[in-house]
Order: sequence, then C-alpha cells, then structure tokens
Amino acid sequence: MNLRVALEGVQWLFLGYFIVLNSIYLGLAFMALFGLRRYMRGISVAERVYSHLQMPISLVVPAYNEAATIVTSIRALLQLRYQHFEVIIVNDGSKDDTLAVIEREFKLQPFPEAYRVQIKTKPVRGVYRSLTHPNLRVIDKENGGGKADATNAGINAARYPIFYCGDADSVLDPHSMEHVVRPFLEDPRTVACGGTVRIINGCKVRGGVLEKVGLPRNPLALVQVVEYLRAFLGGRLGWSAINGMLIVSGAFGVFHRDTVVAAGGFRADVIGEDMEMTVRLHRKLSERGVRYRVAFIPDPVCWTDAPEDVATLAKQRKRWHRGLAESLWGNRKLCFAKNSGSAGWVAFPFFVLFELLSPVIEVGGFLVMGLALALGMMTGTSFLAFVAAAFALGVMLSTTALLLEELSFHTYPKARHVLALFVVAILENFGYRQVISVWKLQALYGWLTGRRIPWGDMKRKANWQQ
Amino acid sequence: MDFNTGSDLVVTIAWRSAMIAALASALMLTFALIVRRYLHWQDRVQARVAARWRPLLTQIAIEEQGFIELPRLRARHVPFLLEEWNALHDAVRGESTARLNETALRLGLDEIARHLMNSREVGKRILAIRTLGHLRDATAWKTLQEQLVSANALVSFYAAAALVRIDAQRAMPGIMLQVAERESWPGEAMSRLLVDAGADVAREPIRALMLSLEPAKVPPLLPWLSHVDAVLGSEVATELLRRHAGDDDIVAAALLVLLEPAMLPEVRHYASSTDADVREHLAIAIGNLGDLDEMALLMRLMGDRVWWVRYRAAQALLKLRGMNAGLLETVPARLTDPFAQDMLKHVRAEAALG
Repeated sequence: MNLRVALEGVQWLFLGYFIVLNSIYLGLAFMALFGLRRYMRGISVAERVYSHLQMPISLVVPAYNEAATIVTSIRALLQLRYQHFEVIIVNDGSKDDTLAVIEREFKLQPFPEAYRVQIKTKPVRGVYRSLTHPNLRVIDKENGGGKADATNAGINAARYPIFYCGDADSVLDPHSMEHVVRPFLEDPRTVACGGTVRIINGCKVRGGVLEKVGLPRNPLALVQVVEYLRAFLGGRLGWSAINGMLIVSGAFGVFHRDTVVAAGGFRADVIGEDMEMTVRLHRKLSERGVRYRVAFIPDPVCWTDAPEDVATLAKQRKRWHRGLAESLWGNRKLCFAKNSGSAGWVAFPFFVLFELLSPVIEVGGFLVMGLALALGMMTGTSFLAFVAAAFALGVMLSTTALLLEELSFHTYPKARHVLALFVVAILENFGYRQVISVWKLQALYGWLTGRRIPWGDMKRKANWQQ
Repeated sequence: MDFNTGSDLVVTIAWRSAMIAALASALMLTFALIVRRYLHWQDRVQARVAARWRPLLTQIAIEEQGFIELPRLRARHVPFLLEEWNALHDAVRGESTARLNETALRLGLDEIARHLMNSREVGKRILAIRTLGHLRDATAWKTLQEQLVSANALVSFYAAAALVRIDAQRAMPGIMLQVAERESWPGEAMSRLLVDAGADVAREPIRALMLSLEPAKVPPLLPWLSHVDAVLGSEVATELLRRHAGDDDIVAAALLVLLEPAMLPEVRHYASSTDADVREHLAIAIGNLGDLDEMALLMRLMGDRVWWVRYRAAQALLKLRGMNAGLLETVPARLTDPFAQDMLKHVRAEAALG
C-alpha cells in the first residue's frame, strides 16, 4: 500500500513538474510573442531615428591560443557598421603566436598606456596600438586561467561607457551594435543587454562575415539549433519582459562599464562568469535599491560554433550546469530579497526549481517509473502516457520557438528548414534530452561534492569559415 | 498488486496533456508555415511596388516635366508606396519636394494619411505623420499636436518633426516642452531637424525655456542645445553657471559647451570641486579655451586621483594656445607626480599616432 502511494506520488510529481515547467515556459513564450510583435513594429522606425545616435562602445575580446582565427575575428570586428567603437583584444598569455600574428597583421606598436587598474587582474605585460587601425588596442597579460580575468583587463582599458564582451570565435552581425545599444539609449537605467545567439554550423562565413544561413548536417549541431531558438526567443525574451533575465550570454553581452566595475568585475573563480555577473548585478543593484534594467534584444546578433561531438558537448553542458549552480548559490541572497522584483521573486526560484534541479526530477522520474514498469508495478500504457506527455509538451515548446522565429526574423530561408527543425524538435526527445539531463545531474553532483571540472580544450570544427 | 494500472486520473491527465500539446504543436507549425508564405507574399508585393513606383517618383522628383500619367494605386500597395514616397522625400530638397507633393495629392495620399492617423499600429501612424509633415498639411496641425504628447517617444518625435516642417515658429513652444520632459527623445536627431528648419526660429524660445527649467532637467539638454546653436549654448551655459554655481550637474554640463575664454577666471576654482565630472569637464574647457597661463592648473589636474581627469588634463595641455614642442619637452621635468608623468607619455604617444 505504501509503495502504491509512493508510486502515485512520483507519478503526480513527474506529471505536475512537466506541466508546470512547460506552462511557465509557454507563458514566457507568450510574453515574448507580444514583446516581439511590439519590437518588430517599432524596429524599422527606431533604427531610422536612432541610427545616427550611437553610443560609443568598447569591444572587449579575450583571446587565448587563437593564432589561427584571431586575424579574421579582428577584421570582422573592425568591419562592424558602427561609428564610434574601439576594439580591445586581450591576449591572455597565449602559448601560441596569437600576439605575433596580430602584431604583424595590424602593425602593432608598444603604447605607453596609462593603464588604470580598477579591477584586479593578473599582471599586464604591455599595451599595443595598431598603426593601421587607431581604434584597435591589444592588452598582453599573463594567463589568468579563464575568460573572466582577461575580460576584466579589457574593462580596465576600456574608455567608453558601455562595453561588449564576447568570444573571439563568434561571428557578429554587422548591425549587431546598432541593435544592442538601443536599450541603453531608450532607457538610461539599462545596465546590461543580451542578444540572440544562433548556431553557425551549416552557415557560410567569409572574412568573418556571415554570408549564407543554413542548417548543419551534423545531428548534434542541428538539435542545438532548436535548443538555442527555444532558449533565446522563448525564454530570455520572456524573462526580459519582466526584468527577470538572469543570464546575459558570454558569447554576446553588452554591459554598463561603471556598474560592472562597481560590482567588482567578472569573477575568475567561477565557471559561468557570464551568468554569475548578471545575477550579481541583480543582487547588488536591488540591495542598493537602485532602479535598473537588464535588457534583451531578439535580433540574431551573434553566431557561435556548436560542438559536433559528444565529448565536447558533454563538457560544455556540464560546465554550464556547474556555472548555473555556482551563480545561484553565490548570489542566493537575491532569492525573495526586498526590492529584488521579478528577478528575486520569480526568476531566481524558477531557475532553482526548474533549471538547477531539473535533472534530479527528470532523471529520477524516468528511473522510478522505468523501475516500476520493469517490476510490473505500472502498466505499459501508464508509462507511455507519462512519456508521451513529457515529450509532447517539450515538442510544443520548441514549436512555439519556431513560430516566434517565423513571426519575427525568419532567418532560415527555406520552408524545408522549418520542417526539418520541427522534426528535430520531435526527435530530440528520444535520447538527446535524457542524456543532457544525465550530464547535468553529474555536474550537480560534482558541484555538491566539490569536484573540480578540468578546463580541457573545446574541440571546434569551424568548417563554416572560408 | 491491484495498483498496476496507476491512478486513473493521473494517467488520464497525462494522455490529455500529450494530446493537447501535440495538437497545439501541429497548429503552431501550420501557422508558422502560413506566416512564412504571407510574409513572402508581402515581400513580393513590396518589391513590385518598388519596381513600379521608385523610378517613376525619382523621375518626377528630379526632372521638370509636364503631366505624367500615374499608374492605378491598389489598396494593398499603399503602405509600401508611402514608404517609397517618404524615403525619397527625405533625400531631396527644393523644387523636387513640391513636385513630389503634387504627385501625392493627385494620388490622394493626403486623405490616406489622415485616415492612417487613426491606426492602432504605431508603424502606420508614423508613416501617416511623416507623410502629412512632408506635405506641410496645415489642416493636420491639431492631430499632429495630439501625437506630439503621445506616450510613444518615436511617435512624438515624428510628430515634432512634422510640426516643424509645417510651421517651425509656431511649433517651437510645444516641442521645447517635450524636449525638457522626454529623456527618450533622440535629441541629436531633433537638433539636426531644427538646424535644417533654420535654428534661428528657435533661439528665443530655447533660451527662455533653458533658463526657466528646474535645474535637474538642464544638464541633458545643454549638449543638445549646443548642437542646435553653439553660440546660444555657450550664452545659456554662462548664464546657468552664474545662477547655479553650486549645482555640480549643471556646472559639469555647462563647462562642456562654453565658448567664451573670458569665462575661464570664473570657473578655474572648479579644479577643487569634489565632483570628478566637474574637474574633468573643466580640463576639457581649459583645453578648448585656454592659453599657456593655464599650464600650472592643468599640471595639477594631471595628478588627479581620477583617470579621466588626468587624461583630459593632459590632452588639454597639448591643446593650449601657444603650446609648442619645445615647451612640451620641459613639462615632464616639472611634473612630480608619477601618474601625471605616465599620462603625459600616454597622451603624447596618442597624439603622435594621430
């Protein structure tokens, strides 16, 4: 009898969890839908008016062993359609020829910069300025063990009120800066702004500029296209509508410089420094009772390389989940804090229950029910019903993201692309999502037991480059 | 083991959830594909309108000709034609605008624009406002004034632009009030518009408004004002510096737009201000207006604890009237502060690189 009650309890928990989780995401997607409609209606007009009102921006790009791609990346940055910007490349103690390659290509000259240390970093060995591009500087520093320390050095050297930080291997849309500064212009309370990141695998890039959009042939990368659509167009746009966005992606984020400096810069001792910074900004600003906004623009501003092999994907996802745990735990005071608004009262608890603990419920639920089925304590029909519900709700969420994409940017040029993504949204439920949940569970366990995650190199094919 | 079917209720809910979700997914996919087709169709219509009307409108705008037969205007082509017409209007001047307006009246675009002013879609409303402004339609004055106070900053901005086109002098008081009230207005775009309309019409209303505003509203407006009319900006700044000498925000903003070297003796004491923006902007003002008499003060500011003050002071030192390479060589030896020496090296290297 007790077993029956327990099993029923698990069934209710499992079903309830999926229904609540997907209902919230669906709610966010609807908020995103309305936000997107409003955004798209105003976009052409806003661009016309604000195009000649451009806020100066510092583009901070850390580089570690990027000798093969750094020239293309810098050229792409220098070609951005924006009037007033500086590029600061931070060579984070690369062991390869990164610095030498930049030096040769952009005619670097040592520059006696009066470098100010507002955020402490590993020592800076030198500052260089390009003779061919006056708005390009290179900071050469000792390796700080991660992106955070290098970004902080770049922030120290940044001259402008807002800065972009991203990855050297990402490809930016030429108009990305025009889009992303708009929230800062429209609302001076904006302290950070993220943008939609898309998967570049399957696209064609020439000279660091996206030339043709396509879908990857690699199945792992293809699933990630759907994942990214779901995360950015459904989730983040919805969260930003209620100022509850807890993550500004490390691949593309723009921050108000002085606010980040006042918060102490990016933390070098955590894995997900991008999320940690966003959550910390929410915490610190709400503690001080400051009115602020963390914005998000739905425009596809940045294209990034997705892992195409299982080992790299596993590393990435474990790292992300570990980063999530560290960010939430380190800023736990934000949860239900006074003045913390939607970030502390809605987003934070949601992230704990439905993101951080999701692998426990998902893996646990499947295990218990699978066991019950194997032991004959549950009929196949019942088991099938729960699995069908979990899968169908997941597919519905992905389809919502596809719909949002079609209503806004319809980036993928052919109808067969949309159909292919729909099929992927169904297929990802058969194994992919479960494996991801297991990796997340491993990451959670590793974090709880204090096990270190080795950095290791991320294997990138980057076969889209030409 | 009578419980092996699971609770009926929970299983039923699970099945129904699955079915509803599957059905919703199918519907959304269908809708997404329909939306895609609709948008493609719209793109094609837009391309057709551009292909037919753009060369014709351009020909009308640039060539003085007799009567040109215009093609029939279909209802679904109207928004795209209005876009084409307004875009061309933004690009041309003089006689061409009159010919475009005449064409618009022949096509009945004025009536259509008045009708679109009631649209709930912001994009269409803005299109209508731009059209009426370009047509200098005085009958739309009242409607445009209503749009001027719209909660939407872009709608109000375009309404202001339209009013300026119709009657700049008459529009000015209402617009100035909006400039003071709205933080979200693209001020630089507005100043450009006023300059195009002949900024002289705005001089007196602007001066009166700036001097009567509550202090908190003044700082963001001063740079805007100096874009419109640099001399007027400096005059107002001088007056504000005298009236609000203790308000750091106003002082910082006013120092940036000063054009009068005679004001320097009155502002030098701000080098001791506790506000870093005031000290930084003082350095900039000295660089813009000062001569070698200001060297000592700038060298003091080059030892400031704030990086930007040191940087601006060093830049100002290089810009001083009468400064030359020989004199500059003597400066490092006179600087005792290592931060000031570093900053001088930095700025000189920057100047050498251009």
